[in-house]
Amino acid sequence: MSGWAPHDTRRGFIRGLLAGSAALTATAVAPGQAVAAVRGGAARDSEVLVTLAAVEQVAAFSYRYVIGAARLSPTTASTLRRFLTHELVHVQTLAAALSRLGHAPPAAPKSAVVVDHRLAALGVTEPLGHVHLERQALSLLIGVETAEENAYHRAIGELSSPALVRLAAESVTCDAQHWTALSELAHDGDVLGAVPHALAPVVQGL
Amino acid sequence: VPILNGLLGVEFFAAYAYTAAIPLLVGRDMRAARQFLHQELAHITVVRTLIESVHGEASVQRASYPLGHPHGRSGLLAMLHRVEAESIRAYVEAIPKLSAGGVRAAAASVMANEGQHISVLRASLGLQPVPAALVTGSE
Repeated sequence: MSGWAPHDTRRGFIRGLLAGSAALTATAVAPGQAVAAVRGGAARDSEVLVTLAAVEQVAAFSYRYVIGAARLSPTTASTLRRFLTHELVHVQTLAAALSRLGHAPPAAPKSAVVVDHRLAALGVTEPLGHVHLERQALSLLIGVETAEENAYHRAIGELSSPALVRLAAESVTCDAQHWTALSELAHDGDVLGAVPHALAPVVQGL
Repeated sequence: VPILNGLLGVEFFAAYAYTAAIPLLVGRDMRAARQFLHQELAHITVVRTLIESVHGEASVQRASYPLGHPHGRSGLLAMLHRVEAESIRAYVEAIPKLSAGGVRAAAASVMANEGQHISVLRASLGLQPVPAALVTGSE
């Protein structure tokens, strides 16, 4: 205890208190900012997931409609049914992710008219009601898969949660595989046309 | 930059594998492999560009890569399938760790193209071309 005096102790106590207070102030701000950032990221992630879920719902509706409406070969019908199950898994996975963030998925479209409008907004202008033949079905669904790839591409750049980024990357790769398989069916097994670009989707400026 | 250099490494590996396989393949397999090689070379350019855009130093290609001793058409296609699956696993691990959104999106576009390659290879091997709703490279 040599060298210590009561006033030193008191001064030290006050200094410590002030320092502690400053530290407390600082820590009170830093976690607050961190919490706000996390909340902001989660809110933005929810918005992005809602957009993706809406696109996946349109894709699932389109597959189901086409399977029921178009005259398809057994091979194509079987392929489309398989891809529909994938799209439904994507819808369910996104709904579960939204639920974990405290949000509900968007309401699923119930009519072809609504889906036609949503498809047009995604760049697919052929109405579902015009699909009767296999080539029309494949052309429309290739457009749907392109729209999904573009939506995921935007989402992967915007999502903040690493787990959601990973989920989106795994989903878009599946959609790119759908695109390739549909393209091969549409063009008599033309493998070069089925994987035409080094990037899926094509990224401008790279 | 280390994450991107890891991806550059798997792209070098894939380009090496296709370069080795092409002279031994014929017909549709050979045409597909040639196209996929061109796309792997484009991926190398993309990943290098991403590294250079953040003033990083891109790693260089190794003299050789372990391809095993594939025999016949199915052995070669299986080897290419293995290399593509390894690429996809590397991208699945790397993409969530990349901080810049634009870089993540570009890397995911490359990964999706690798997914297309493996889908064609799977079909050539008589396997289901799109086996799962989520592509992880372990299918």
